[in-house]
Amino acid sequence: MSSSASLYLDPQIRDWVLFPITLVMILVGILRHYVVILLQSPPKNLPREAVREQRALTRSQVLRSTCAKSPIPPTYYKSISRHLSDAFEAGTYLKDGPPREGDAPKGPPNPMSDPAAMDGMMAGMKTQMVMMVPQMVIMGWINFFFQGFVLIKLPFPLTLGFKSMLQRGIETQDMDVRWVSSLSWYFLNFFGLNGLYRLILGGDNSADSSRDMTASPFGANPAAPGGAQDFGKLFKAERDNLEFSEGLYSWVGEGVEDRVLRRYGLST
Amino acid sequence: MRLSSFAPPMSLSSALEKLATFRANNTRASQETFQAASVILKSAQKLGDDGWAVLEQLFLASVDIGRLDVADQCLKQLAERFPDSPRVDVLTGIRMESSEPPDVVLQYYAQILDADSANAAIWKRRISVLRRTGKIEKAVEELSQLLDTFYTDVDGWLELADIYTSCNQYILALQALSHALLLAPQNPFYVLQFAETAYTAGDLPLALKTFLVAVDMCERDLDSPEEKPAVGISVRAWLGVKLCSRRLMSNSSPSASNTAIPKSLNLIEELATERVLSAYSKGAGKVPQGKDVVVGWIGAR
Amino acid sequence: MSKYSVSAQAYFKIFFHAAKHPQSSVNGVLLGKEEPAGTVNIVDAIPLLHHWTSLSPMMEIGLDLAGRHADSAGLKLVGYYQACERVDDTALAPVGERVAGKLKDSFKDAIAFVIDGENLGSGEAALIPYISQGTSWRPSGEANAFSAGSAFQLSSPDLPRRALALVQAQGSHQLFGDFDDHLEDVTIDWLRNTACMPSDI
Repeated sequence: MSSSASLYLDPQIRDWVLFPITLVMILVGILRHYVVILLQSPPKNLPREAVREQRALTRSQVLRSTCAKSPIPPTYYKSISRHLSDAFEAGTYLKDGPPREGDAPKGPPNPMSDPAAMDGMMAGMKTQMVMMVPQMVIMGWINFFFQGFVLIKLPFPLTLGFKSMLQRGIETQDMDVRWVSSLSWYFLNFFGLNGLYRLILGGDNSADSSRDMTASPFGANPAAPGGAQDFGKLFKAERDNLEFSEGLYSWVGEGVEDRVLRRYGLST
Repeated sequence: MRLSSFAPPMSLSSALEKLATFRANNTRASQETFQAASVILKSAQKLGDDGWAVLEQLFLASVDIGRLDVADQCLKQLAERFPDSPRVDVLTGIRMESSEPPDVVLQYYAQILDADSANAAIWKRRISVLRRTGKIEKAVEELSQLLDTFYTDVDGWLELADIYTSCNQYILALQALSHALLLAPQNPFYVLQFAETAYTAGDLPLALKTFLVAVDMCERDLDSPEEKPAVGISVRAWLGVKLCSRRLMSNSSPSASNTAIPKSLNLIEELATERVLSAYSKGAGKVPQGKDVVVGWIGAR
Repeated sequence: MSKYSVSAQAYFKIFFHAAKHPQSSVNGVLLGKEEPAGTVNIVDAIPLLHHWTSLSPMMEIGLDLAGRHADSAGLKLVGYYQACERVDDTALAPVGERVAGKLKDSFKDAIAFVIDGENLGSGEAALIPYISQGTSWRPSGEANAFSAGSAFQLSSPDLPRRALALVQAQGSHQLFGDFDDHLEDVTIDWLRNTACMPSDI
C-alpha cells in the first residue's frame, strides 16, 4: 500500500489522455443521437383492422382491472363481458376476420417473410449498428494507445472488491484501488454519461449506448413485430381471464346505501 | 374581460403561462385564448416548440370566434414548418369546415382516411361533420366503429352517449356511458351523468344507486361528513338521491336493470333532505341563494 | 294568437346565458304574466342547464324551483328558451318540446324561443319563436319576428345592441350563473342574477 503514496501522475496524462477520452465519448454520444434521429424511418401506418386487433385485448383488460369494485351495474358488466368473450371465441377482432371453415391452422408467421416485420427488424439493426461501431472504435483506440495507463485517482477510499472494476487492463496486485486505469475510465464513462446527455439533449435522447446493450435488434421496436404474435391464441386465453373476473365481479353500487348511512352514523 | 379591453397588452410571459394552463386543462376559452395568443403571434417562431403549440391553440381559438384571417396566418406558418404532419391535416380540415360546404370537407377527410385508415383524429372530425349535417345514423355507425378500434377514447364514448340521449335512446346511452365509466372510474361527473341518464330512462332504482355512488365518491375522504355542509357536485348528487328516493317512496317503479330498491329508503330520504338543507345553511363568508324555493321543494310531496 | 313582449331583463339573461356557454347547449325558462289586453309580458328569465340539457332529473328540479320562485314573485312560467351548441342549428330539441308542452298545461299561451346563433353578434333580436300546434312545436312562421308589426316585440328595439355591448365591453356574462352553476356553488344566485344586470334595470 505504501507504493501508492509514491505514485505520481504526469499532468500531461490528465491533459492528453483523461480529458480527450471523456470529451470524445461525450461528442460521440451527441453525434450518435443525431445520427439515430436521421436514420429513424417514420412509423408505418397500420391499417384500421390491425390497430383494432392489437388493441382488442385492452378492452377486456380495462373491464377486468376494476372488476372487484366495478363502476358499472351487473347487467351492463355481464353484457360487455359476454360480448367480448363471444367475440374472442369467434375471432371477430382478428385482422383477417374470423377464421373460416377448412382453413388450416397457421403457425406463427415467419418474421422473415412478413415485410412489415422485416422493416421493423431492419430499423432495429440500423440503430444497433450506430450504437456498436463507434463504441468499438473508441475502445480499440484506447486499447491501442493508452493500454495500461493509470489516469486518475479517486478522492475516496474503496474496498478491494472494486479492483477488477477500476483497474481493468492493469495486472498489479498491490496498487491502491483508488487508481483508475484507462480502460476502466472508458467503462465508467460508458455507463455514467447518460445523466449528462439528459442534461444536454433532453430526457428522450438516444445518445446513451449502455441502454442498448440489453436490447436485441429483434425486439427493439415494440410496435413492429406485431405480426409475430398469434392473436388468436391470446384471445382464447383472455376468455378464461374474463370468466375468472366475472366470478370476482361486484358492483360498487352494491350496498352503497349502507356505506353512506354508516358514514353518517345512521346504520340500521 | 373588463381588464383585457382597457389594460395594456399582457406581458409575454404571463400570456404564455395563461395559454399553457388552457392547454393543460383543455379549456376552450376562445376569446381569452385569442387575446393572449395574439400577443405572441409575431414571435411564435422564436419560442421554440412551445410556440408551435401556441400557434395551434390560436388557430383553434380564432376559428372558434370567426377570425379566419388570423386562422389562415397560423395555418400557413404551421403548414410550412410541418408539411406532412397529420396534426396539420386536422387543422386544415377544421379550417375547411368553417368555410367550405360539408361535402367538400367530407371528401377531404375520406381522402386522408383512404391513405391512412387508422387516423383517429381525422376520423373523429369526419364523424362530427356527419353529426352536424344531420346524418345521425351514419355518425353513430362510424363512431361505433371508431370506438371498436380505439376503445380507450373516453370522449368518443361520451359523444356517443350524447347522440343517443338526444335521440331518446337512453338504454343505448347508458351502455355507452358504462364504457366511459370503465375507462375513467374515478371521475364523479361521469357517474352523475350515468345516474341522470338512468333517471331519464325511467330506471329509478339504478339512478338512486348511482347517485349514491357519486355521493360516496365525493365524500369518501371526509372525516366527519355530518358536520360539514355538502359542497360542489355532491349537492347535485344529494338532490338526485332526494328526487329518486322521493319518487320511489310514492310508487316503486320497475327497474330495467333489475336493480333492487334499497331497504333503508326512508333513512336515505331523510338523510338526503338533511344534506341538501345543510348545503343551504349559512356558513362563514357564504350566503347560499334561493334557499326558500329549495325548502319549499323539499317540503312538497 | 296572443302577442308577446320581451323585457330587457329577460332578453339580457337569455343573451348572457348563451354567451357564457358558446360551445354547449343551454336552456332555461321564461317568467311573465298575461296583460288584460291579451299580451303576454315576458318579464324575466331563469337559466337552467348547460351540462346535459337532454337529461331530465335536474331539469325537473330546476323547473319546480323556478315555478316556486315565479309564484312568490307573482309571475307565471310562460315559456322556454334554448340555445344549441352549433350556431347554425335552430331546431327546438325534443327535450324543449317536452318542457314547453309541460308549461303549456299550466299556461295555454306558452312560447318557446330558440336562440339564433348567427344573429347573436349582429345587433338584431336573436330569438326564433316556436309556437305549439297541437302536440308539436313549429316556428311561428313570421318571416321577421320582433320587427315592427310582429306579434313578438322587445320592450325596446336597442336591446340586442345593448346586450352585445355589455358582453363585449364589460363581460357581464361572466357574472352570470345558471342552475347547473348553482349546484356546484350554492352561493350563485341563479334565480335572480342581479349581479350581471346593468344598474338601470
